[in-house]
Amino acid sequence: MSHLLFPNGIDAETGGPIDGDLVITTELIAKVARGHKLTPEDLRDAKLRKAIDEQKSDHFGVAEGIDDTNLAETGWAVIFPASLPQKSVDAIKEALKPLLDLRREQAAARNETFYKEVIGPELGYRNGETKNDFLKRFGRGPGPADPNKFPYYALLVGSPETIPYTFQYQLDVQYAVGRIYFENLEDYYRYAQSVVAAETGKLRRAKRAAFFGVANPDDRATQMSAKSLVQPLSSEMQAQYTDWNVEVIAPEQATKANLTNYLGGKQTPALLFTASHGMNFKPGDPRLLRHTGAILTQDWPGPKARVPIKEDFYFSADDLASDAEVAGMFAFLFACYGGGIPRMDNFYRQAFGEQKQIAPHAFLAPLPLRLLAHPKGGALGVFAHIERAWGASIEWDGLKGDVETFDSTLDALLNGKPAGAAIEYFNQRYAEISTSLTEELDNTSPETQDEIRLAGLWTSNNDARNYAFLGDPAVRLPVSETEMPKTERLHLGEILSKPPASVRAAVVNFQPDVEDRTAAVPGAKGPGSGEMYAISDLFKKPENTPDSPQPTSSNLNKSLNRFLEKLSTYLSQALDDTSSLEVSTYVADDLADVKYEHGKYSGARLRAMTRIELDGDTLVCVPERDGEVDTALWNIHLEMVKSAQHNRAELLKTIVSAAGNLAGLLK
Amino acid sequence: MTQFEATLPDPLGLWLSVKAGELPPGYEESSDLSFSLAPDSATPSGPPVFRMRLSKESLADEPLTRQESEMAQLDAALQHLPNRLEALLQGMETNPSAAGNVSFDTAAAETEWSPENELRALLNDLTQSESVSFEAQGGALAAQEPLSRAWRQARDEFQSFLETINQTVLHFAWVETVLDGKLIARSAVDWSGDTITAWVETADSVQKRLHHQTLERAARTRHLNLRLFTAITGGAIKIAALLTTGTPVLALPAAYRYVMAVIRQTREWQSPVHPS
Repeated sequence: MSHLLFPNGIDAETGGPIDGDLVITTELIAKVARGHKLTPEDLRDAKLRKAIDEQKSDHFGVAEGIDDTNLAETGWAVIFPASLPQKSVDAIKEALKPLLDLRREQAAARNETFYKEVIGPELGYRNGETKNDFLKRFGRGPGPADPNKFPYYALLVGSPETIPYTFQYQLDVQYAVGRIYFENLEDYYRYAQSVVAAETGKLRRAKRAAFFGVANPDDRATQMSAKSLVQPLSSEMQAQYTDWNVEVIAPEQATKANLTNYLGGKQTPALLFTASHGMNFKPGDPRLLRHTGAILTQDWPGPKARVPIKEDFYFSADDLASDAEVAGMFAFLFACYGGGIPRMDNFYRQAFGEQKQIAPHAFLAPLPLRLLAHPKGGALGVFAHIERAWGASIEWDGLKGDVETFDSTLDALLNGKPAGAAIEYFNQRYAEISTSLTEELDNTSPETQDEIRLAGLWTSNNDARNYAFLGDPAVRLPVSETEMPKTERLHLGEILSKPPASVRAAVVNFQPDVEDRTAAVPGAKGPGSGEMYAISDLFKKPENTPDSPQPTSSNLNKSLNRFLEKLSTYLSQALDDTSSLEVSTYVADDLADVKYEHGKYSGARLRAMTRIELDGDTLVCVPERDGEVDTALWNIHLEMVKSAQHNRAELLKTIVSAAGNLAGLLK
Repeated sequence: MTQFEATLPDPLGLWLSVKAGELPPGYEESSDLSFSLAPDSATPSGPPVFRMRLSKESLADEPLTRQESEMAQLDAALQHLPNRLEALLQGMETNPSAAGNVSFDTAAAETEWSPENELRALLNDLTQSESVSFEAQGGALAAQEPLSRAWRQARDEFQSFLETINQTVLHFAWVETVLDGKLIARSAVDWSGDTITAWVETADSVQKRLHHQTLERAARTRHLNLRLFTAITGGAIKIAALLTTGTPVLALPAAYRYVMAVIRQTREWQSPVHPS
């Protein structure tokens, strides 16, 4: 008897399953599974991992006796692609400096070699290398992490084209791995500052978790995830964490409008768990790079409606507001392609022996990237799925609501484990299922194999393998009894909106990836491009990349590119800056003694200040003289506020006009 | 006498270009707010300073009323510029040369100096003179740029214009008012409009109003510069649409020359010519 299986992905064009008319049955999966062979190297890793896991109960990944929550014992490494030009590496390092400095201080506290920068042609990751080839260069073979050779926590900095997903999966089996990759240099800075703020106690969120479970009409996959994943998982959390406010958003309320409240709005929790379909687009669709993995909400009428998916049905990076308050949060996105997409479809290759291209290149999903690099303060990490997320992983072999892996991961996170260590439960599951699948195949013949069990093992194996963590794997959930005061959040936003001169200057040397892939899909914006980056993207042309050949006999293009690049940076910042306007008035006896430092005057007295937020909140400090309002000063201050508001409005009009022209200029 | 000074060249001619001179206290400390150009830039890397310098006697000159009028005229010129260019280009399109191509020949047009004739001359260069290919390896960039002296000059001017507005528009700036040689107020103005002002304790309401007007002039100058850039890019798009070869980027120097000629003409019509 054959059963149907339901991956969590929806084709935007047809409103049907991502695999079109292909019916995925346990029989088909069993066929795939029979052709499934782990490489000897992978099998050895999986078995080793399983054996280690069976011996240890409290922690895994690192060698025995090492505290996996202490970076001084585990070590920390950052890994860049070997082929990325040095000047771009330097630019990214400059932007990441706050984070690198912090990790160096923590990891090298006892042993300097426990902090590693794996950078450059000699040390960096060489495309095509397996995990074992890579570790061999550091004197390390298979087995648990030994920080004397290579640190346990490893942050990959690169796109999945230059540091492939497969390397991340392999390394993740024994190490705590996370990844970041942004197409704007400022995004690296924003993420680094957000993590540092959280790790140094300057950023915290109240103990609130929210579970957002979609169950679209007539849709088995999401009905299953709502009932067998979200429901039991949230119940467990509510029972176990009584000091937490655990909210469950019922399917009928799981709309796009409501998700806006939980992703950046007033209801944003410290931990958001979503279970839904992830958006999938055909190659050539201009939305592919922008909206892949977007969360399909309850607004979608279900597969029977067979209507093309409108943007009103899903929440993408473009929907994350520029004033969203996601700083310090974690998200767990259970959805197909929620974390990213490979270039070739792995399932098709194994099922039919055919290569099927599903994306112009492998890339990380834009929504998590926009969360991590949000200009008002970034989320600290996103757990998400690469490729298809299978419902069979939740409900399989007669077991319903078996969500222990999810539960343990969230437990670990809530109990203060670094994210990379928390997601180890999925790696443990992957190792266990991999060896079980191999044993099942080795010890049985096709005639005697239980196809349902085999299909369940295969899908669960792939599913567990493909969970990835986006962010620094050593980051932890920063929570406190109360929400951080708004003034402190505003302060973080101010820091992020004004990268230091060294980062701004490095923009000209920044090349996000080894190759420019932005033109791969006509009309498409690259990953990481949210609404606020739309203007920036107008300026990105292949010839703008610093390493591209330039007409050396003319500096015009160089000057123009430099100007456009900087204008683009400023326009992006201006759109953020326009969420508030601040006018301050100081007085001093002699201006020669007044110094300007970090946005304030020293040697002068602050007499009046007005801060106007976009939402209408206004903070006013009124000047007094001898207990009375200093009317003369106050009047001129008010006039200056009025002028500043008028100038801001004019500036915005000019920006819109400039952006329109530049789009035409660069056609 | 009232003088409007700026430490960077002002393409609009509203401020007299002066050397930065001695930096006021705190300039160095503010470097994290500034935005330095690449090392090969010829322009200074510090934040620009806009300064109004006046004496008590010159208060009666009403220079501020005059500046209002100057700015309003420039504003109007920039507003009408797209239509003016459109009319010119349509004229060229409807009167093609014998070869059937669009004619940029100045011989057929009036010989008197005008922004329109200056543009015709440059476009004639673009279509007539020998070109050089800047096709980059791998086809990343393919452009044809004429070799004429006038064209090269326009290109170089546009390049320095870019560097200047890069500093003027995109930097945070200092805005100062100096009365009888004494600094009465200094503001740090973020390019998005955030303003932090320090006054001398003794400043009276007239002095405060003066500095407010300096701030207004600086802000409007920045906006006009950005609009100038927008007018040039918009002009380049229109011009490129008329060319059989080339891209809007290639048309930028011609558009720059045309727009600046219109600005020059507008300022010549203003009497007397300032900025001092």
